[in-house]
Order: sequence, then C-alpha cells, then structure tokens
Amino acid sequence: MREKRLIKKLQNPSSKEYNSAILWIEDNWFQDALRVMKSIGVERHLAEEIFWESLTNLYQSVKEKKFEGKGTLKSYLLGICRYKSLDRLKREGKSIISYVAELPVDEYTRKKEDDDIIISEEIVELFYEILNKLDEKCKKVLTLAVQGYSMAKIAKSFKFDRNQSAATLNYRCRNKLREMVESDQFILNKLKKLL
Amino acid sequence: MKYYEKINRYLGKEMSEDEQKEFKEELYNNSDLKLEFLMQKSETLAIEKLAAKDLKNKVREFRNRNAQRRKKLLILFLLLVGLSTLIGALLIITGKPKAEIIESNTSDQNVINSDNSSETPISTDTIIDNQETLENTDEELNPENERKSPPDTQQTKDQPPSHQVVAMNTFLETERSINLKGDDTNTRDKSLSRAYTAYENKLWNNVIEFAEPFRNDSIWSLNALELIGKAAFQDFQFTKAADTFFELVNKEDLLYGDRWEWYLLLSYAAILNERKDDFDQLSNIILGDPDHSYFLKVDKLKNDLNFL
Repeated sequence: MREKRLIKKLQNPSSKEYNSAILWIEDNWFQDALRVMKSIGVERHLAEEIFWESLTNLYQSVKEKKFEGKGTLKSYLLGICRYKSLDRLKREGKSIISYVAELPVDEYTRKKEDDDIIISEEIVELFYEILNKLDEKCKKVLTLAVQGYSMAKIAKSFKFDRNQSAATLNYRCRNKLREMVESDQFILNKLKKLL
Repeated sequence: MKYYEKINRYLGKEMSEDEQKEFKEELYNNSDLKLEFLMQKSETLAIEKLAAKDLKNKVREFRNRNAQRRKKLLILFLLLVGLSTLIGALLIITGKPKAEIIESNTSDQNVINSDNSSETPISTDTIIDNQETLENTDEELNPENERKSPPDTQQTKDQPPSHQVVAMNTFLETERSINLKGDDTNTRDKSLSRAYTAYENKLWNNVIEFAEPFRNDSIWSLNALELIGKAAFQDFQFTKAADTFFELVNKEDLLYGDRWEWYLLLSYAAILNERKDDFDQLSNIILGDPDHSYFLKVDKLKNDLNFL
C-alpha cells in the first residue's frame, strides 16, 4: 500500500477505511518493529504491547495531521517503538542491550526523551487497574482527551450539543479517577517513595 | 488537582524552554507538585495503555469480521461454480448441438448485457466470434483501416490459449460493470471525445490513433492512456496493453490506481507464458492488501487460472 494512500485511509472517518489501514500496518510492519525492539532488549510479549501503543500514537498523529511527512510513516512508527521500548525498559529497571543510533530520531522521540522522572511499570499497571473500574463513558472521554482530541470533537462523538458538556465530563472523570487513586493507600505509598 | 493545567502544559510540550526549566526546578523543590506530577503522568500512561488496547481490540474485531465475510463469499462462489458446472453438465447430457449452445450462450449474453448484472463466463468460440464481428464492423465503418491480425493472435486464432480466454472473459466482465464514460462525460476534451466515440463503436485501432496525441497531455494523459490500454487489450495487443497500464500504475493515482493495477494484471494474465513472474508479483501485492478494490476479483482470477 502506498504511503499517500495509507495516510488518506488513516485520516478517513470511516472505520472500515482506517481499520483496514491499521490492519495493513500490523501485517506488514510488525516484524520490522519487533526486530528493532528485540535488538534493544524487549521481550516478545512486551513488544506487541509497545507496538500497539506506538501504532495508537502514529494513528493519532496522522489523524490529527500532526505527522508532517518528516521521513516515512514506517520510520516514524519505528522511532516511536524505539522510544517507548527504551522508556519501558527504564521503567521496569531492565538493561538495554544496545542503543540503536542509526534509527531515525523523530520529533516525537526527541521531545519525550528528556523526561527524567521515571515511573515504574508496576505503578502504571496499578493505575490501569483503577482506570478499568471507571464506567465506559469515563474511559472513553479520558482516552480521547489524552489522545489530544479537541473538546469540540469529543462533544461530537458523545452527541453533546455543547462543547462545555464534554469538558465537564472530562473534568468529572479525571476527578473520579483521582479520588480512587488517592483512596488507595498502596499506590500512594509507592508514589511517595519516588519523592 | 491545583497544578493540573501547569502539568498538562508540561506533559503536552506546550511550554517554552525557559518555562520548562523553571517547571523542572520547581518540581525538585516542591513535593506537592512532584506528587501531583507523578499522579498525572501515571494516569496519562495508564490511559494511553487503555487507548492502545481499545484500538487493538477494534482492529482484531474488524479482522475477524472480514475473515467471516470472505469465507461467506468463498462459499457463495463455490456454490455458483457448482451450479454452473451442473447446468453445463445437464446441457451436455441432454445432447444439445454445439452450435445451438453457442447461439443460446450469445443470446443469453445479450440479455445479460442489457440487464447489466451477470457474470456468466463467455465461451472461447464466442470470444472469437465477437472479435471477428468487431473487426468486420471496423472494416465497414473505416475502409481505410487496414485489417490485420495482431501478432499475438496470429497463431492462436483457432484456439486461443486458455489463460487468454480467462483474461478476456474477466476483462469483459469488468467492462460491463464500469461505466465507460466515467464521470467526466461533460468535461472531457472535445478532441479526445473522438477516441471515446471510436471506443464506443469498438474501433480499437481508431481509439489508439485518436488517443495517442494525448498521451503526454497535462490534463488528458490519464484518460488517453486508459483508452489506449483498453483498446489494445481488446485488439489482442496484450503486450502494448501491459506497457500502457504499467505506465498508468506508475502514475500512482489515488482514485483509479486500483483499477489500473487490475487491468495491468489482466494484461499479464493474457500473456501469462511470457509474464508469469510479473503476474505473480503484482497479484501478490494486491492480495496483500485486503482493502484493494479488486481484491476478490484477483483472488477469483488466480483461482480460475489455477484450474487450467
């Protein structure tokens, strides 16, 4: 599938179109991404998880037209996989086999590599468990907001008349999540150890 | 959540370099801010994880649905093949003379053409008959047009190779399903419309002659090339058709790219003995893209050719 057609499909609002593009990417690029991640020291089961997180980021960047064609889509995806692999290994306290310097360092990678506060994967998993206890509406609004959707678009996806309703829902769900986290002493202790 | 906006701006990389520096310093000196930061970043990472799982599940669901749909289509296709084989066998058993069968096939075909809805294959003899009729019409309408048998068909006039029959049948089926004039009838160039008229009258040599000057035209080049390719194919000049469609495919047009790849594949199929590798390569590319507009047709074509 050609690059231009792939971008066009990812930007297409029809789920049939963008799903088929994502499917194509998975079928054709996953093995390359796996090789990159394995060379850094990521195990297969983790690599798949990182691949999907990276693919979500890529999809978002293309959909929101933030991908400005610096390099190819594939090198951009591999760049995100590489960054996320390094980040995940750091967070899990595992060693990095080799630093693959020849891989393209894209804007996304450059921007994020300077975060020097490391949150362990264990903490993220604990947050993930709590997040899953929220209702579907909350999960949806929080996901869309983190993916960078504007409140107008979120309102549209919920069929709200006013954008403010989406902002309010997002705020309430964030608060709800925070309350649940703060009431969990185990997580709080883990976080306080990082201070 | 009193630092929410500030942290959000930092995580979203919306701060200037000075602001970032200032924020980081504050982060190391203010434990409230740091705790808040850790919570917010963890929440963000967890939500990103959720989004990725969500996307993965949706795509998996889509893949399964597609596979089921393809399975249903395959069953339907096999049923149709079985049914047509049965009808064929019945006709043979009832001992209908061959000429009669051809005649009824041709008249059926006419009815089908007017209905514009069937995919009944045409027999080898019918194709030869059609070709001859077209050439006769050509001669009558344009006596200056020298009637010559193309080199591709010279040796195989009595019995064209079976892969050529499959390719031609499939091509004619596609032609029935595509509106020849497309959506540019009102806007197309008046000079090129001579080529379109010749195409409608099945005067293949004239189509090529009239369309050729537009081959490099900045506006009409794509239309002209498609006409040349299609006319060359129907005039049994398969190598010329393949070269023309190859040129079109290289134009990487988003709207018609799939269609031209399909025509190129049919041209390769018609000269399968010479272009087997090209045929295999292109068909694999198309079958590797489940969303290709001609995915199912290519699948069917490959099956048809494998039966030979």
